[in-house]
Amino acid sequence: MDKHKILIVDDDNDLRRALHIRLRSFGYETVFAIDGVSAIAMALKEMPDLILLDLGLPAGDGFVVLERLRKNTKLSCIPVIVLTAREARGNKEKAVAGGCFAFLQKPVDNDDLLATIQKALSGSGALIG
Amino acid sequence: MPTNRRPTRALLVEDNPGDAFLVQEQLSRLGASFDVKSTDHLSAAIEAATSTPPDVVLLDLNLPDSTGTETIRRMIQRVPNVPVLVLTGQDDEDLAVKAMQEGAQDYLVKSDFDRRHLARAIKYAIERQSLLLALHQSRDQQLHLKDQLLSHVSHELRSPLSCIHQFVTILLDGLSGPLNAEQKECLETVLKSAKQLRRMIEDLLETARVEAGKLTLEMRCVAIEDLVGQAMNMLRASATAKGVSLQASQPTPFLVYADPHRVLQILLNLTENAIKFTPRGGRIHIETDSCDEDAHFVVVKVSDTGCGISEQARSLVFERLYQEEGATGSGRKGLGLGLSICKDLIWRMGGKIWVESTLGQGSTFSFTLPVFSLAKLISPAIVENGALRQVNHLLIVKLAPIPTTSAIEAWDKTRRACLELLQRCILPDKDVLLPSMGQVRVGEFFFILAAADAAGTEVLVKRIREQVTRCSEVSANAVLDVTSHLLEFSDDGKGCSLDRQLSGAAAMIGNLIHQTIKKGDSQDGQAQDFDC
Repeated sequence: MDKHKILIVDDDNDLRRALHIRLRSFGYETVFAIDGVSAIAMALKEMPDLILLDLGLPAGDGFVVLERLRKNTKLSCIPVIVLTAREARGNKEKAVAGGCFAFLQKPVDNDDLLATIQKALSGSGALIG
Repeated sequence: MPTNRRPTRALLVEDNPGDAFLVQEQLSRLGASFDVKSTDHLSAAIEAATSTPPDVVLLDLNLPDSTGTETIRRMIQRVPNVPVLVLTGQDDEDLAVKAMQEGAQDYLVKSDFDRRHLARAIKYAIERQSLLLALHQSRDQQLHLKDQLLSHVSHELRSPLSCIHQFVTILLDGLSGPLNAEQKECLETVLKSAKQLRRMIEDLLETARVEAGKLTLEMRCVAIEDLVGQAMNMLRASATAKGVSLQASQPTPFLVYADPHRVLQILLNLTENAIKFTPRGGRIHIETDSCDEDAHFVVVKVSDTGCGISEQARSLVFERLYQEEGATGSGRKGLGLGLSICKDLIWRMGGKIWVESTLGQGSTFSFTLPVFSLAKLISPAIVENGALRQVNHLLIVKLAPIPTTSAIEAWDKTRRACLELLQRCILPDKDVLLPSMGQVRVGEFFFILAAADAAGTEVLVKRIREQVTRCSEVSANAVLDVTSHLLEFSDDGKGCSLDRQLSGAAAMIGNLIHQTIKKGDSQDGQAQDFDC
């Protein structure tokens, strides 16, 4: 497998499309989910290398998705980057405690996004916030 | 007083047995409507009031362990919601006013009241306090609502902004095909505006946070030059792009007592403003020096050769929502919140901020920060009755992470949890949890100056260990090692002034802390030197 596969979980159609174009330009393959329930189903079906997760989602808040991902033995080792429009205060601690690899806030700088994805995929473990 | 209600619980704090008897006697004659407990020390009173809050505190100001209005301040600090009624032997109007300013509900002269007078004063004090509390609660509630609203709105604004940002950068990076120069320029303007909008949303949230009292400061001992350097690095590119030179100078290194993130935020804000208002070819200079008026402060000046600020505007620039006309460049205004946030932050850190300016020649924004002084920090713990306590202990708490793959933020959370835990364990009235004074590569050291003898220190250490086992955030992620060191201040300094003795003690403690950090970080440490 050459290309890393990234699952984008976001209910904003336009942003999903933008992220798809951006990640494709970085050389990644993308798959999508638009809500909490389909996120888990999609992750199981596609077994992505990384998940980009929004927090405000229909049918299951992002934190619920994060918890379910962490509890699922098949999915628990996939790194999750939270990408949200929500405030960092409070949410960041909660997401980190929930086991995400990194917390990024929308609008995200593309250099930051790429650097964080690369770190997550290299499995270095330590997060740079 | 209605008889069908439970008796009013009064805590009488009075060290003169005769006076205490008199007040109790007066109240007991009013029948079963008062339940009076009595104590003769402030520390005991605070302890009693914290465990079972009384309905009212009757407080003498001159006690064995505290005197004057300081007594009120310390009482109210620990039990803020209980009305305090001052009972004193001094018929002193000035003192009475000061007492009320400190938050006392009433001021009664002992020789001058009868029991009905006292009962009425107590009743009104309780009533006023409860009205005040209701007022505060309603204010807090409103601020909370506003905070929620802003948080919600900013979230909703960020989502479409995120889309704009993404698609513009997609076009700009040529991911949808090549652009000509004009198209590129247009899109760069869109991107710049999107970034401005993002900044405004952040300012808006920050302001709401300040007002809701949710803004927390983490005061540390910090080298101001490091922060100036960071700010310069972050802004050099935009200064260069505008054709403005950016330089910094300082005669000697300074250590200040401040929250480094907030100071950086202030430096960025002032310097960004300077860049914004300075035309091409201009100069910006950040200068740090000791404060002429007060040697306990450091002053940081951000000067520019920009358009200057009119006299009329100078008095307004720090007001919320004030906007300066005619910024060079796009001519676009901000929200007018940046400087008001700076002012609030500086004020909270104990400094002040002001501006000097000549129209057409430039402006200088200056702010002060307190110089880090260990002597000042430790004085509540080691000064007793105007002299140094002879026996104190320094507790060294070493927090070492349990190796995991956990994130940097997770460690920060553990560190904070530990800090809170220690804060809970100490007697805030006596012991001092010292701020961070240097970084080690792995883990963190905390230092507590305990105003206690060996037995008291042992109790404190035991309390900390117990709390750690209960706090999973700390115990799951870190190992805590607590050691205590006896500090004996010799009698030699007795002849010297208290200040001299204090700085001697500070030097000794500072040295011990410094050695500990150095030893704990023998591999290439970055422990900071500090003056005491």
